[in-house]
Amino acid sequence: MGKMIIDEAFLSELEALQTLLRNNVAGMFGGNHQSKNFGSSCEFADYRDYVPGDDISKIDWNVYARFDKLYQKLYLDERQMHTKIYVDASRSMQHGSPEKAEQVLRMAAAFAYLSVAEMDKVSVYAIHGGHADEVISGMVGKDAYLNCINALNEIEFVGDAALDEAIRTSKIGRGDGYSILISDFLTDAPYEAAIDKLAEQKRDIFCIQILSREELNPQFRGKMHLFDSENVGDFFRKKIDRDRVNAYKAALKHVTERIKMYCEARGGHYLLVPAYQSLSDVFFGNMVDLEVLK
Amino acid sequence: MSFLYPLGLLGLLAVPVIILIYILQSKYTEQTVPSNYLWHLSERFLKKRNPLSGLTGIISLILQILTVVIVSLAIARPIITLPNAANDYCFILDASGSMNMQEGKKTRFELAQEEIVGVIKKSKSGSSYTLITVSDESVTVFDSLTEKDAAIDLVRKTAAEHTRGDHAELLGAAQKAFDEKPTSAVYLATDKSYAKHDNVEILDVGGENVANHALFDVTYAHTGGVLKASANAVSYASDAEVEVRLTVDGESVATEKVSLPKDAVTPISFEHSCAHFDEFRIEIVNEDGYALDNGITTYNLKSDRTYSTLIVSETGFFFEAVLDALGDSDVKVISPKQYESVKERYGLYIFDCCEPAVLPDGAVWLINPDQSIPDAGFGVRETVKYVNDVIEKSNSSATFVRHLLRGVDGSQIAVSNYVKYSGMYLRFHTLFSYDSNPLIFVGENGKGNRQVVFGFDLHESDFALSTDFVILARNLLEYSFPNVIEQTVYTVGDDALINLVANAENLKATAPSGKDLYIDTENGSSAVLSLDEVGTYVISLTLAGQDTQFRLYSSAAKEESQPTGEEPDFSLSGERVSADRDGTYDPLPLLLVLLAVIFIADWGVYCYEKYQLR
Repeated sequence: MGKMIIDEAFLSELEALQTLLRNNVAGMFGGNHQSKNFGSSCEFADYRDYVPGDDISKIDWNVYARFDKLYQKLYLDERQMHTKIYVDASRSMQHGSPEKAEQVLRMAAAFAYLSVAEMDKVSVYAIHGGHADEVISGMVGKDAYLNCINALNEIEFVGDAALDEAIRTSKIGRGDGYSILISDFLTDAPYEAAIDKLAEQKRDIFCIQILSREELNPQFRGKMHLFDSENVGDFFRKKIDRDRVNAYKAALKHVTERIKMYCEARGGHYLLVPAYQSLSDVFFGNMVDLEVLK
Repeated sequence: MSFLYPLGLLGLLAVPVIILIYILQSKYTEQTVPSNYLWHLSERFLKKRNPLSGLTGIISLILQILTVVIVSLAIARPIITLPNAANDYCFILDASGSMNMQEGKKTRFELAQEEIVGVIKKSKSGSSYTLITVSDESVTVFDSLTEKDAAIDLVRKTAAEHTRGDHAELLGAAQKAFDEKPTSAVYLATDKSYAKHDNVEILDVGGENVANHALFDVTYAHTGGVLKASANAVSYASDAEVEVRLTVDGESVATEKVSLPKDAVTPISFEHSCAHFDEFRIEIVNEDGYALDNGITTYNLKSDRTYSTLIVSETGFFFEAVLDALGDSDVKVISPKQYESVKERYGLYIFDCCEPAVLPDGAVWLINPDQSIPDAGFGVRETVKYVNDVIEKSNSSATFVRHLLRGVDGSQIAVSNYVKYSGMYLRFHTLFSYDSNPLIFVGENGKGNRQVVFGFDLHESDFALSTDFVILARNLLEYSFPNVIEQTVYTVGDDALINLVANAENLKATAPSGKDLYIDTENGSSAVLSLDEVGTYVISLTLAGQDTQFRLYSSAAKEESQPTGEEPDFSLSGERVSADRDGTYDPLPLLLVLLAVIFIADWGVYCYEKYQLR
């Protein structure tokens, strides 16, 4: 049994949603996303003077009859986007109840479905260390989704994850859709460089931070010797009391706000998603409020 | 310090165990978390720590060790000796009638009990306690009791009397207790005021200006179908307007509003037409501090004056005539021979110049008996003839004799012959004598019946022709057929005289409180009933097979109605000496309190640590 369980009814509901892109789309193939460039869609955009060599089928003959001058009708261009989903596959994602990994995979699958429903291309990467391993590559169409999506369950959550290095070394693309980073971002590794790189490539950035219940509100008290799941040599040996927990919560707030500010400063979106929150609430609530979806 | 159960100290062995557990529990708990990133980062956000928070563990350990120590001590029951701390206490508790007066919601007696209990509670264990209650007599409730709780219990069980307080008795009881134990601290709990007192501490429970009015000195006359009743009333604390009510046979027949100036005796009188009454009550209706003195019930002295009398005589004329004249007797005259076949019982038998072989069961008059009779209480010596001299009336000051000779002149009674008697019972009383020989004497015979003896024949004396004979006959009849009670209104503390009528059985008295008082009827012709309570006493008896009741009222003592009065000095002679008695202190209650405090503190520390209650 895989970690990802997507309800078909939920997927059907997702079709009602549509992603909102901020950057001008620059896909190579036709799709559902309107480009700022003029193209061949059915949606009228403007007129311009006819020059020889233009497609005469787009000449507006009614205008010619009125003004005795040739004008060519311009239509908005619609492009196919390439949604790239980066999944933090480090060991830390396997903690919590429910595990953060389950929420990560569900969200990746849901986003992938949302994209293929919009006729976009979808790639999913699992970040292990400094590598972004391509789990699903260029998936287009619902049939392909059904065939490929199970590959997400094959992702192993082991080791650590260096978002910065992994994304920099992967094929990022340029201006052709969303780059979605799903991670707990609980690392002192410089993930900011990854965000900067995506922004530089005019990708629409969406950082989703998944945290477990214990991470959001630690319950243990007393003298604790805490081992880091990704680094056995890293331990924290202190007495945990209310002051310490308050400091922890302040640190958490600092981290989340920092990621959010960093993303928003670069035209991206940030969303904190508890591992126990339902996908419906996230997609139809938080993401709509955040204007990632409509 | 000593321990009742030293083995309890073995509990202290738990202390090292607790320390061991503390050490073991102090180890860090290991746990793997997804990332320590935030925990490390929390150092930057950690505020200045409360230095106490680091001590919670050791505080908890200290509290737990203290708990074990205290529990062990409590089980071992330490007794701490306090040198020369104990004392001998002697409490003299005034139990007179005025102590029943209300002071707010409690009586003075209850307040005195509380005062004494307070002193006992404050005293050190190891002290001894003596309690003497005093009203008209002193009663030692307990002597040299060393157990506090038992002493307190007994103090609370005492009750106030209704009788007069006797200062001399009070002082005497205190002095006696002090003489017997000069180490005693003497406390006098009373409502009386003492200007000066030595060697005694007064626990004053007397209030001032407690509203109290009293009614006393009830008299009445019932003539011509009109009852005239009167009484005196007084208000002690202040001038008062009161309502006085007359109740006859349970029905209120008259009320009167009366102004009672303070401390002034105010006469009150009522008139009520009634052919007959059984009882009437005069009472002040208004409530006050001492309800018992607000009314007096008077019972009509009823008695059956019809006596069945048998005269055994050949010539019983004189006695038949005088009994007829007195009109109270059902007289039958028979000859001595006929007496042998008499089966009926009579109240009075008069043997005139003859002697029965056996004394009958009933009152007996023996006239000129010249032969000894078994159980008659005297023997016959000789018959003296031709005297013709005046006999002597007894000049005894005894109440009994004076009562029987009331109205009798007795100066000119002469006899010609008389009989000399010897070996008389000591309980016989001589009314007349000649030459030191008793001629008319009365007393209780060997069968316990009242007996009158005339030592001469009435035919050989001029006595039967004098008015003294009728008067003496009336007095002797009253003696032979006494009323069960002679008086219906007494004052508490008095002794009521109960006449033991011949053939009366099952005699008992019921006090106002409902307590049955059984009266000794075996000896004597009368018994004394001590009236210790205020209210109606009911005397019940079976007379000739018929249940009969007589009632008398015991009124409150006038002296006890006055709220407070200045009493003479209360000084105990002698020097108080030190008791040199070691006291003991049982710290168990303190240990339990400490235990509770530590438990709460431990719980607080636990919550502080567990739930971070700050």
